[in-house]
Amino acid sequence: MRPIGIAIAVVVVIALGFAAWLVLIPAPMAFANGSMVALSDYTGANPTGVPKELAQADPIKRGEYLAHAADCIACHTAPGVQAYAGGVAFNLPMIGTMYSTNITPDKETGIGNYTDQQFLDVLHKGIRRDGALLYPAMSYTSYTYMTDDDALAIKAYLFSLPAVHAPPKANKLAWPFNQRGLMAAWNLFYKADDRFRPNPSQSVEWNRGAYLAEAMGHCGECHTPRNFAYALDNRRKFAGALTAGWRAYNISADKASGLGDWTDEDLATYLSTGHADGHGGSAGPMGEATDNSLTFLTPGDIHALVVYLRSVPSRQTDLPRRVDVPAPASYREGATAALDPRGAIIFASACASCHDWTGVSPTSKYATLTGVRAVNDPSATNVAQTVINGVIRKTAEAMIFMPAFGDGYSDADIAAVSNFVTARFGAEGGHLTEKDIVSLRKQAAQQ
Amino acid sequence: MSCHCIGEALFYLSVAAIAAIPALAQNYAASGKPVGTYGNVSVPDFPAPGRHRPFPERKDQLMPEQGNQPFLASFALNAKASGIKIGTGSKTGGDPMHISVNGEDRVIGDDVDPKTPLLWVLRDHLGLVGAKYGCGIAQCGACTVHVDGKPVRSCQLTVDNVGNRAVTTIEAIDNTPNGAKIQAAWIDIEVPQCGYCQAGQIMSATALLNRTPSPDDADIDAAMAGNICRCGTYIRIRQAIKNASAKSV
Repeated sequence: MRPIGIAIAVVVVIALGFAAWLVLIPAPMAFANGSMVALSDYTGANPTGVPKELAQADPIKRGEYLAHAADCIACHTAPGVQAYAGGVAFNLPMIGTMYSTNITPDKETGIGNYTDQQFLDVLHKGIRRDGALLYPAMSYTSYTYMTDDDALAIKAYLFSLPAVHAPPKANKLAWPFNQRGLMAAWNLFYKADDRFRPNPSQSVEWNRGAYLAEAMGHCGECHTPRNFAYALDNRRKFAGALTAGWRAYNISADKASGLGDWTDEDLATYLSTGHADGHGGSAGPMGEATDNSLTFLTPGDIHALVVYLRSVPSRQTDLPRRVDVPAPASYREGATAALDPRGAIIFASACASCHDWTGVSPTSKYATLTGVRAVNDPSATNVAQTVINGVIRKTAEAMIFMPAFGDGYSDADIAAVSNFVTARFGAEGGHLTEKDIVSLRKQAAQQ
Repeated sequence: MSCHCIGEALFYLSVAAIAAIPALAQNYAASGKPVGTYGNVSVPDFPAPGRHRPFPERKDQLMPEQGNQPFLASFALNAKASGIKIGTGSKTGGDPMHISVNGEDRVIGDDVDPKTPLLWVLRDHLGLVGAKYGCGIAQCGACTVHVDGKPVRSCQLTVDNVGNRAVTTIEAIDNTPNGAKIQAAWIDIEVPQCGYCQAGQIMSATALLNRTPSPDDADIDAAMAGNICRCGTYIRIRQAIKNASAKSV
């Protein structure tokens, strides 16, 4: 009996240990050396709030800057609808469709009746005014690190906007995900309800960058993989993930698959403009994050973000090292029609005039494919999404445009051209099928 | 050959695109917003599709014609709506821009926004109206010019991105040996029907011969697939390129 008892005990301990490992996940900033202190005990420059350029601005202006930094608009504005009126659909495979809510100050359908405390409860704890528990699609797991002052400045800004009457759309979730009450169990493990705590062992810029990346910009919500319970797995922090049908790439320090081979200058330029020569431009959700959020940040804040991003430990993933030399000038060399006749024909007729057979665009640096991560991703996910959705971005410097081919080409065509493009300009060709394109379209759909 | 089917499909798509222009332009004008789909592809709110005469004039395309003021007016309007700054006075912020066109140094007046597509600078400011506005989204090839010898869609190349590169347009292509051969071959078998796409076709075909003196069918397909012809003269285009290349060997 005795040995059996010991064996059972060992199994139980291992099982409990494994369960704990599964549910207990390190905090987003736990990777850094040094211990964190309460903000009030921190003696360095205040890493929260607005940058010094806006220190004297009125509260609404400050709230506007912070709302941009937190990128509220990205999820709370559906295409073609007034800003912050909600209604954006999030299509989660197997789980269902969720809609973002109206956060304009409309009393009936928006947040017009929210008190300061109720607003803080939403951002910090994921609790709605009526007491219902939010799903983590609302990134309260990140906003929980926001200071009360900053959260209320955002509230002041939102309340300065015109109220829009836009009733919330009902979520369409499969059982058991439609049981909101179950979020209580989830929150038990994954709700932090913790404010930002600076790390005195790190630089002032690092702390500012950490606040911007974690409490405001919530980079990890797309770039950190999720675990079996849909919680951010910070053991693989910034290692990349598939979000809304687009791949959010590895932004850890790994040289081959992450940002290790980017210069600081490239990173800063990419973050502030959505493009860096030799790396290409942002499109899809990152294009939105650039245009709605990152372009509004001051150069000092961008620098702080770069310092912080640089410090995130390397997580190697299966993305190949980027090919940074152009493809052959002749269509007869490199990846050719022999590989994929359909892809080659579509490329010749619809793509080559701007992207060239070399991948180096004669028209615009924004159309150059050489070195772009998306074409160096054998999943070809973002290439396919870009073909489907096109690119329309207006930056201070340029109008960046690629037509959306999603309505003109069949799923098989889009798969073929995406496979061809990744094979010709990237490290390894994709193997997308018609079915994959159907699924990608669905995941990224906004209605 | 399967390439013919694609050519045919492209032909019908181009017809659909061209047919859709007036309605889309109206929709666009009313909303001031992107118009959604346009033929087979979505279009942006700039440049405004359909603000131009969608149909060509059957006069000698080598003759200069009057500039197209409505486009600039609509550009300014759209730019305002979309937040792009169009002020009065200098848009280049100091020194005037210079570009090399057909071997000549041309000064671009400071009334031209540096983000204006080269096509409109050529047509509206330099009086070179050979390059045509077809789709405005680099999907038809009618606006093709050479930039440092490469065929480039001038509707997508902003004038400030031309830089020091040499622009050659249809007006001067007969000064080059292959350009002259292609034009002669074009006339010889009367390639064009309506003629709207031919400036772009000739520019792409000349660039092909410069690169590949004796192109076979696959070479022609790869080089010419981005130039669509709504009249479907692809067979004559292919023949003319072969005839010209036979003269060059």
